[in-house]
Amino acid sequence: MPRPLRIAFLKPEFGVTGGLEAVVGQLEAIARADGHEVARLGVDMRPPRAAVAGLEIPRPVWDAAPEYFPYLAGRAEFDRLDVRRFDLVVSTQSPSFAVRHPRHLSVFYHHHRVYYDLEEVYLRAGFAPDETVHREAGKLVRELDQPCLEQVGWFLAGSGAVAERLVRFNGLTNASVFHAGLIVGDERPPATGPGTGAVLSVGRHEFPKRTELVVAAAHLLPEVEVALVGTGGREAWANALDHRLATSDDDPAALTDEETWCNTGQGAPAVPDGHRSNVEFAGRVSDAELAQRFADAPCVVAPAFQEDYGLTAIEAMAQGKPVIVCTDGGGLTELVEHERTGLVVEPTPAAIAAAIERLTSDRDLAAELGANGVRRAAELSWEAAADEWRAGMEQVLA
Amino acid sequence: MKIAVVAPSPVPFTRGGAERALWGIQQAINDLTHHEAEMIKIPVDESTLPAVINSYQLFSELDLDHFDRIITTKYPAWMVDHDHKTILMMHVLRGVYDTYQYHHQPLTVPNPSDHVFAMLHLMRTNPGHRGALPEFFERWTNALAALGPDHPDFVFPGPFARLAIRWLDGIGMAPGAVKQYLSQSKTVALREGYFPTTVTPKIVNLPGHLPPAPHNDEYGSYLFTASRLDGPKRLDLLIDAMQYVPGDIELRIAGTGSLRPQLEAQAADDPRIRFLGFTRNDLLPELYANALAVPFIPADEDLGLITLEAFSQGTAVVTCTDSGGPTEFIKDGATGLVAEPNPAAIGAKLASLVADPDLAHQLGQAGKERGERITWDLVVEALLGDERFTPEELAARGAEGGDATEAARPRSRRRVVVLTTFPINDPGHGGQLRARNLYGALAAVRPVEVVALVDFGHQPSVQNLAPHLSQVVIPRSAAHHLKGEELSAEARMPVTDVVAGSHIELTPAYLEAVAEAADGASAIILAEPYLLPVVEQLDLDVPVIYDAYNVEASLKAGVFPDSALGAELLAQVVAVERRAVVRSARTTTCSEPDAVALAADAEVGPEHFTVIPNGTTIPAEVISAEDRAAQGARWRRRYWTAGSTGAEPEHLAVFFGSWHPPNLDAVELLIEVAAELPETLILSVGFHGQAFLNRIVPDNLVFPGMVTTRTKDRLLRAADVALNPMRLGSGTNLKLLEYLAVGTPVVSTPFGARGIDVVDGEHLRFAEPDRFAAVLAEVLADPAGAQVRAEAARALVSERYSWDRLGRSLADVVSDIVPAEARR
Repeated sequence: MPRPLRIAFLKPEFGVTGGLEAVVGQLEAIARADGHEVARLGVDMRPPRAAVAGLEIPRPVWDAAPEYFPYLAGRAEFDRLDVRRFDLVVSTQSPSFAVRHPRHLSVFYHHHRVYYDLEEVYLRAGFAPDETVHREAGKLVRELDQPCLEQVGWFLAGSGAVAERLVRFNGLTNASVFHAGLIVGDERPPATGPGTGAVLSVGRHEFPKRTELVVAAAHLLPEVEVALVGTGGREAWANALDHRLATSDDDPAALTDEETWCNTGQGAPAVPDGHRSNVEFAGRVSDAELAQRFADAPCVVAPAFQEDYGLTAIEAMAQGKPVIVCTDGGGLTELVEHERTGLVVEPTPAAIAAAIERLTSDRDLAAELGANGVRRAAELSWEAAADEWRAGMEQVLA
Repeated sequence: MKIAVVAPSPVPFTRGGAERALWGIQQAINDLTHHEAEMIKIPVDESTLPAVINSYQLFSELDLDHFDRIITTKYPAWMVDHDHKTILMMHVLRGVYDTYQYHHQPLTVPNPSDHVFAMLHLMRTNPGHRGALPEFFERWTNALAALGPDHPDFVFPGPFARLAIRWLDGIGMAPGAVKQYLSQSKTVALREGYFPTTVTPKIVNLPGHLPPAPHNDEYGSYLFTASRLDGPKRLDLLIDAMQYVPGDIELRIAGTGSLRPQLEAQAADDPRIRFLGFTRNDLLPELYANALAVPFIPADEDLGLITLEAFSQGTAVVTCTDSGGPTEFIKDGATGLVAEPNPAAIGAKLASLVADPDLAHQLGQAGKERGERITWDLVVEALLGDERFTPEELAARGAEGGDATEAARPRSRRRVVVLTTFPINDPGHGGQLRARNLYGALAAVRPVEVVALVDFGHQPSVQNLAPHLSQVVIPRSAAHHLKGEELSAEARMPVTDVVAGSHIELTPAYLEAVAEAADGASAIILAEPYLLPVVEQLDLDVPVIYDAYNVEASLKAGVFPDSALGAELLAQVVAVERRAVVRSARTTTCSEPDAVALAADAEVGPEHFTVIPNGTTIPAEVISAEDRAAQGARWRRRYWTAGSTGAEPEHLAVFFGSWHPPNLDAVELLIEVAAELPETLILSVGFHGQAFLNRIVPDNLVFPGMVTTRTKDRLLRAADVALNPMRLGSGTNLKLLEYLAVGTPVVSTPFGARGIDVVDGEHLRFAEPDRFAAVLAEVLADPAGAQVRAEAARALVSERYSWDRLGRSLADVVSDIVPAEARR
């Protein structure tokens, strides 16, 4: 194989810039630094018309399976891409793995999750207009995905949880775990250890990030201020939950998942102007402000359900903050070790509140977990990640 | 069962909301029950008085005895005579009721002709009397023949028409002639004269769902309303409001009507306003579904089907405060928007949705959920009750629910019946708190049945609140409600408690419920004196305990207006309170001074009284010292403003209070205390904080505002000391008991502890106002001593002031007065 290689990175575009976009950018930079020619091929996943591979789908049919058709449309676009001029293709998010190439490395963080590991919880939350249709669509998606995934040469799985999903759903073991680091080059303040300001939770208000659990937990600890950084489609819902708990004697510990996070988040009652509580919805903040909030926080809560990786946990550990995650947090539980770098607790408002209470009462414990976190985060460097990446490349080229 | 749905067929025929409702009722009975429903219609022309009266006659002579029951929704259909008649009122002939005033006609017939005079006499002397109908119709026929239809006495709407139609309705709707009254909305139920005054109609909303329509390219790009183009719909107001809606958003108006030319002229300058004219029903769903919002601002609408149609498509509705029916579903900012009825206010609401389509979507979704709670199932339930089921279905349901067995169990002769003017299970004012806790605790000794007279509009129900504690809820009738409103308006303050008993005959259902509950009971407790007339009118042979929450006479003397009405009301209160003491076998009071005052007024000896103070709930656990320290530190951190100067606070003291003059005065003292003790953070919690918003106070005095009970409990336990710096007020200080019950050390003025048997130095520390800061400093300096006192105080309160203990005291009073034969 002649070097330098011509490498194509395949990227579905969802119109957002999040952790994954940063990871892909970082890998492209590493490949360039290694002397390869790098190109990015993007496909817009927000189709302008209701059509799959040129076939017009009637609008009511399209709307009846709102996850299915856009996914098929995106898949078809990747399937059509001509990548013969490249020596190696690197697929990223689902469904970019649909591209066909003999040397195919997949940086794999997730399937189309509502048809895989999130199917049950997605249905339980009531997102699907029709459960039967959704399940049938799921079967079709998995049948269509299987041969594409089987033609991938090697998977760099975003976490152990993700590698396990490839085994469970696809019977695939040609994978190694790839630990993305924090993005290098960002100016970061030195780690500070636990602060005395507001407890911090950084994450989009989206299903199933479960920011609602933090809101409910905060109302079990009215003397603790909690800040939620991030925006998202469920912000109004979380806000309404905050208002409800701040103005009623409803017991936050008695709330069901359906009342907090396991629902569509639609139809939230309006919250009156001027409502304030011990929960701050900080929205989007500047990097400088976020750094300050990290510095002030006594601990960080990352309550997400089955996270693919968990960059926020690494970020918190790098800042010397103990991290509270949940037992079903997926990748998060691989990064955070109970009573070593944080607390791993049941996904309930009461358990999260108890963890916050423990870390804000026992400052020595918080400081110790924070210091361990700094060391753990240092292990997750981009230097180490680049080695894992190159090893994956060799697997495909061998 | 065979059921006839009886209604007029409008001439000319239009397929409006009323017709859809009728078809829906017929279909719901046929589809959802084993009964058979048939629709019976007779054409009714409403254009002239002779035509209207003719239709009243036709219905009154209609024989529908081949049906087991009939359901009517509208005049003149309820003129049918039947053994089992249900009225589900859509509305009466509005022109001779609530909109009569717009016709500028007198209320009496000026110089009536002899024919009309005779009819007026017949009507006046035979209200609600069906037997007078043949004579009336005969005289009417003769009068019409003699005078001709254009005679001035027959102006329509006019005074004779008004009196005649109301008289006819009075016969069709007479209480003896109707088995069940329902109203399609609260608005309709409350209108003057619609229902007989002694009747409380049950509210049952009729669904107005349209089939769901898909979103199209135009989704969210226009405002839409569907309406008859006539005066009461107020489209002129909507067109004016559009001046206040910026941008190029269209307003589409579907519908036809007499005002179309005027409205089009009015809208000529605004190209965004489009009249769609007659619009087929099958096109409506899509028009609603894709609208950004639906403005619907009629004046005093009966129900407003438009609201429910828009709800069914998830589209937000903007209505007005005086729109009637729609406001029963639309709560401003929650399930839609409600504007004051002027163009600027309506325009502003619409503009807010144009600017924030997400909000419009959210409100639409909330409206949709509200609409989905209105179902045909509930309509069938309201119309037929348990009879909607076959006996087998009912038996199966009884076996599941267990309610049937509950009702069948013989009731204990030990039971006590309590009469209240409020539901005891709503946390609210102090009276409700006492009732729920004291009678709840009594229920541990004797079964308690509360008969609660509640506001008009609630559903009557029977609730099991706890083992051996049940509550029968009886809403006031519309007439009773209106009487209360009328007198409250005149007195310029709520006097509904007084009216509860003084006009109890307006809610006969309450008298019946008490008679039923008291039959065979061992005692009656009168919670407050106001329902004494119930006991007097029923002449019950059951011993009565009067539980006096206050000395009402002195309480009301301070607040009733200085007017003739005020004096009259006060005299009533004084009299009813005195009679309650005299009529009761025993009177219980909240304090010794109350007993003394009541005894003096009624000239009854002290042995007649037992003091049962207000109590408190004793929490099972106290907080540990470590948790108090950790939580206290966090509270101090949360409320210590970083920018302030001075020492960081080391201690946490708390005060709780509503916006009530004695509390505001107490805070004045706290301001002085805080200045002297800069190292103590004082949290002054409650609505009273609003009163100090613009005051400059020491940095260590903070007003967190209102908090939930949950938060209050947590803060109270975390505090180093709770403060009771009261200098003014009356009655006992319930919050002091609460402080002592949770085991938090207390500093109180001696005045603040009046009526509570605590000892300075043993249970708490007393401090006169001028020494308050000094004593507080001593308490904070000696936490061990404070802890010992707090534990002693908690023991004392558990012993004397727990509701359980007080409930047993009340049970002892009951046992004392119950005749021996009922004590078995």
